[in-house]
Amino acid sequence: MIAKAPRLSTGLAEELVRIVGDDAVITDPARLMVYESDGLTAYRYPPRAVVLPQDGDETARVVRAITAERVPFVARGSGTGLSGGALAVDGAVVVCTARMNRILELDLHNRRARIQPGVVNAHLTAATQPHGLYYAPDPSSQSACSVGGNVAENSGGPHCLKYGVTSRYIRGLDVVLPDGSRVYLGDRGLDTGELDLAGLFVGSEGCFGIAVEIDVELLPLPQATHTLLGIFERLEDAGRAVTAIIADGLLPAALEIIDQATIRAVEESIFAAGYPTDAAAALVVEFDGIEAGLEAEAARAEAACLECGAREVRRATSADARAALWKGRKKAFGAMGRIAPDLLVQDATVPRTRLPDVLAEIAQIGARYDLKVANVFHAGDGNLHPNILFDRRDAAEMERVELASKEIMRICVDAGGTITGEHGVGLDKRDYMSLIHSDDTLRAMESVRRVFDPAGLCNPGKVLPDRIRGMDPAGAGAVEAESARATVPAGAA
Amino acid sequence: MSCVHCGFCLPACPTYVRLGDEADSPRGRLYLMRAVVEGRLDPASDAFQTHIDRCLGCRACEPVCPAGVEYGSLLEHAREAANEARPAGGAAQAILWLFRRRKLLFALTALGRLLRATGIPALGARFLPAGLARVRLGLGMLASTRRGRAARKATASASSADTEGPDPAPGRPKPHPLAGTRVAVLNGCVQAGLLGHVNDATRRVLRANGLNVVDASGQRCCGALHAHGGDLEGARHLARVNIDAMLGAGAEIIAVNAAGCGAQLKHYGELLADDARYARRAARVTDETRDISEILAATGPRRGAPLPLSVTWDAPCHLLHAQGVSEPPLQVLRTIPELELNPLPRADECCGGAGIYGITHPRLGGRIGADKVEAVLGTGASVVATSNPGCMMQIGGGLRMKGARVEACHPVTLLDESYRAAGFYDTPARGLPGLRDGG
Amino acid sequence: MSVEALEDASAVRDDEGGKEPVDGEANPGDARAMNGGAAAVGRATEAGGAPVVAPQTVRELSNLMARASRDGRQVRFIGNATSLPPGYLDGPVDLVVSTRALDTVHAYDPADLTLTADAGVSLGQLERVTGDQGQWLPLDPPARARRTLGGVLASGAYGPLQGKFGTPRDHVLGLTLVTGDGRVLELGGRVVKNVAGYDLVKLAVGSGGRLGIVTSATVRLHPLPVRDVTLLYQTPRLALTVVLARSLATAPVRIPALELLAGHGEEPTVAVRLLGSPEAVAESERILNARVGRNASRRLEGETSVRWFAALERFEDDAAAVARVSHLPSRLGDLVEPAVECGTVAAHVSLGVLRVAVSGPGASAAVVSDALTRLRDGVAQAGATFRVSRANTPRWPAPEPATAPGVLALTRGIVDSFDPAGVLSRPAS
Repeated sequence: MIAKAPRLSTGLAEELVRIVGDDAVITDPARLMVYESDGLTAYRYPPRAVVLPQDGDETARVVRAITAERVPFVARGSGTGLSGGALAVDGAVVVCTARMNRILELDLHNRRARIQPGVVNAHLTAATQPHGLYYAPDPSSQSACSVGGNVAENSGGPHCLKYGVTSRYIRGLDVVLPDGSRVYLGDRGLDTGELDLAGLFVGSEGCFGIAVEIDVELLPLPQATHTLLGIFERLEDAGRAVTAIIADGLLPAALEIIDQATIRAVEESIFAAGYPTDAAAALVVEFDGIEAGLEAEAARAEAACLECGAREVRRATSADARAALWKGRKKAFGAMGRIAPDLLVQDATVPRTRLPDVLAEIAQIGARYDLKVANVFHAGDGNLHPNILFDRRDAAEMERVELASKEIMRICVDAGGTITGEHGVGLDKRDYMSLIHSDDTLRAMESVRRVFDPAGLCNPGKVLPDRIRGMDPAGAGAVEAESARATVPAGAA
Repeated sequence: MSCVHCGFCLPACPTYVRLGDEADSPRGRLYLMRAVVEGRLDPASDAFQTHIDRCLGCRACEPVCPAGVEYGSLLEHAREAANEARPAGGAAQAILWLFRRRKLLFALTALGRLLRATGIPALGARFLPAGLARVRLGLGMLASTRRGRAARKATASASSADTEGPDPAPGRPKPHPLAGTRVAVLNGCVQAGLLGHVNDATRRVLRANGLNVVDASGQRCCGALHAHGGDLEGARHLARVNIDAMLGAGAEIIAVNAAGCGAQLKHYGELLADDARYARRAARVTDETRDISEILAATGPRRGAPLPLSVTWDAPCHLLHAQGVSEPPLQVLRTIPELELNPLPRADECCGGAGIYGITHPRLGGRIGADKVEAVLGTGASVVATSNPGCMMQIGGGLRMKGARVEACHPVTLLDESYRAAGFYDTPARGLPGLRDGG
Repeated sequence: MSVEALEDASAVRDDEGGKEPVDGEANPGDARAMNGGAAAVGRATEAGGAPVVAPQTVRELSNLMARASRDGRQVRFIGNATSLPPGYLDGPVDLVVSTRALDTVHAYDPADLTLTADAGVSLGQLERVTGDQGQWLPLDPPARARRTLGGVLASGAYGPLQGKFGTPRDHVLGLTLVTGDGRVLELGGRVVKNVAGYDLVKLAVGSGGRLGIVTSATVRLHPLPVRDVTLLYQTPRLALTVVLARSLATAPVRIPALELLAGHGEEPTVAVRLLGSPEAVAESERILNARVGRNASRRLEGETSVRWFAALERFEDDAAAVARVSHLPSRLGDLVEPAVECGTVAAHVSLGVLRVAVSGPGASAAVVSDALTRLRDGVAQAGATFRVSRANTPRWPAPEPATAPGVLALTRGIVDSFDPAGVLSRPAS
């Protein structure tokens, strides 16, 4: 469904051009069309306008001008998010960070970097690697996604099993608040005794403001990396191997499983990685760190795999050989895209020990709704990505996808898990929030959001269910939120 | 079209990286194309015309696309639709028209050679006022087509004791799978007109490696510029002419030294897939077309004399992204003794030449070109090798505008110089007639 | 120590793992009436003699807070009262809530490397529970063993191991918070990756009891390292020690704990703790020694390594006051010199945080206050932040620099939303 955006007032348009120049303000509805979706194409919300500021100062002035007119705005980085977090709901103006892509300072002595939010995740690592450092969070989209987007979503990635997610690496944030004021959140030493506002801001899905400068921590590059690929006859065995490896006291840098449906998709595509198609699952195990210890750890992991019924374990230490073992995992999404017209990428986390039961239940759900479900996931974190393959032109199938999706969420929650491990709630999962949070908790979240954004103009319509937004009895903010929502055109949801 | 809107193409796109507008990204352009197909967008709209036109056509987005979208061919169709909706005027149209007229083109390039010989273009590129950027770049490009001197100087400076390479049998081609194969060389139009020395070097080097170079007369422009500009009919016409010429000459393989032309020849099969008379032969041309570096890498080229020269390699988009040829040019350069190969940062990014882009989009093309020139200068190399006339002229012209002494050249000319110095061309080798032709 | 009475009042004798009956001064009847049934277990001498209550359940605590909020009674929270921030119990306090009765480990699944426990459980107790399974919570704040989980989360306190494992915020997957007005909020979850909603867990951890009280939490555990080695490098001169410490900090190896100790006649020492497989630890040791061009003065392995760092946990125990000074790690040298003038120093080298312990027990308030002020002014010149984290004196210098107005406004707004009646803290000035 495509919503229609209200037009930008002439006054505001002129003001924005005054701030950023006419080549940085887009108002032609045809051009705005390309911004109506992000990485999640199920929804389309064309923005009222797109503004491309160069730096924090311009961003602050842009945001002030927009919200002074009581117009909502939403920040957008590379638009790779998978939960619709960057969609311009309520006819918001998109403030795009794509031109803010400079590394402002590389402080090698302190292993920090100060960057603009539009810097692409992989570019940051590329720039620091020659100095023996890297930026640890590595979401699968790292070649394209911006660090500003990672901050908004608190992104993870295959290696967060050992290294943790984005929030671990953010030392401070220079933020433009929805009223256009600027505030520095965080500190150099985690030691001011203040509330952890930087920690709160990371993962706030762009609802609290726009981080215009980001201080990140870098790590020394691991001396070496060893990778194993276990081939299993049964998916449960791969799941048991994961548990056995952890139980052995090992902490791999990554533990990733791809199931048979995914293996076949990969092997049938041009990305064929040489995984046997009759295998039920492949498990990628990676260790990194000091070279001397890795061989022993890899040997223990290999033994654990074989003990759990792996029919074959391949090992690799050179960069090329490792890339070959990873290929099937990394190309999984693209390969699935080639065998089905549409793909619903789900994201949920369960306690690691519940993986085998939950996977079995997901298989049953797939069978019951006659849908193809392919699993590729961060097994070490219990972070599942059940991907439902379908064709959106088939209305009946679409309906089954919707129902199956809900059921999968439900079983993950029942297993003690959560509705999203790394993609965020965005627009897509607002209504699942009540599966895991009480209304009291949701309202507490809304109250905190209002501290940052009393007028309800910053990335409206995201994260919290509609019935929670505006439920705050605090007065003025609620009224403004109401009026903001009144601008939603019919059929927008 | 199976674009899933993942956005992985964004950082690969030179126009998006510089402009930050998703409408200037592959994903955004595909979205506009889809909107036209869905009837949501008029192909005559400014949005469609501008953003489709602004694409360099470098196809850097293709290798990074997990869904395997064939962007290059979708772009050609989009351009066709754009042209039909609003026929292109001005410079672009005139240039395409020109490239269909062989004699006129010949006359013009001859004129260009005359002008080049006066030395005026080189001076103009350097010293004309900044306001005449387009003219300066044009003159610089023309000046840069002249055969460089760096390689000759380098071989001259190499001590004679070093001329015996470690080749087990110097002066004699090694037996290899392509020995004696009948190969036709595509002359190209710009290449033939302004870069004749590259074609000559190509022939000499092929012969020196034991291939049988056949003459494919009657060939014309490959049609790449027409296809990229959306004139698919024009492109098909030229393709048929070239297929007749190449296969008529009995060529078993076709050697191309211009990346853009090579990509086009490899595209003939698809271009003429619906042409009952030509489909099969077009497919054959597609299968048998090789970049010169692919042929040489497959032969494991003979080692010539030392060429003590620092060289950096810039990968033409139509070689790297369109043909997927990445290693062979580097393999060939590495076989030249004493040649020092300096890696070029972002060698995989477009130089902004992109056919006639520098003329149609002087500002953006200039920005992209300037970044490339900076990167080249940063390597400290005295020669930048690249294997597409547009790239050579774009980078060479940019270097001349800056007054830099770095030369742009085709890698085969470096190998050629190494062979010349080694004496491979001094006496005709047994069974390999005509080694001394060209010049 | 001025918190002795509190320690007694809410004693959870960690070493014995049990609780001793408290012979408090409170009239249980009064307190019971006031707090919805929770029995008072003592009186705090420090909090103006306010009754101390120890609710048995979250519901009881929630009722108590709802009532206190309605009646506008000032409430403060204590665990084992090990390391309360200075002034926390000053001013009119109507009720002190202890977590001593919330002392159960609810769920421990070694295979998931997660554990859920009540706030009143001490880190010492957790160590015993997890150690049996070859796991640990690698968090070593001052006075670790005696500290309760709730206290550590409220304070955000951490120790040397942050170098690899981070601070409490990085260990907590979820927690239950009873807000200032008695709402019970389940925040976060029990899984290691979770981005469902705004991260209020980060907000609660380190909030110093200003938002509410943590009643239980789920933490992420780690496998115990196979090899545990401590390297001690000693040099006679402080300046050289700083250079050596910085050199280690920028070595291409991740060091789990890297501390610099100096002051009061002791020979300056850099302590490095290495954890991991025997091969990796040996190789790290080789790399570090090669980097600084010498071997460690002493090398401790296994139990002795553990004990050395356990002793460091007692660094603050006898101090009259502790100040925390921080700057970029590269500025360590600028801070250490003025710091050793004022007290004993223990620095987290790779983080750029110095702890400065001023005088021993019995130092007069005037002496302590003077030393702290000198320290603050000394490091202010270098542009460092300064804050007093413990003080056995009624007066201590204010933090430097003062909180930025923007941060203050956000903090106030957030505190108000969790504690609308303002019963948990006095508004920051």
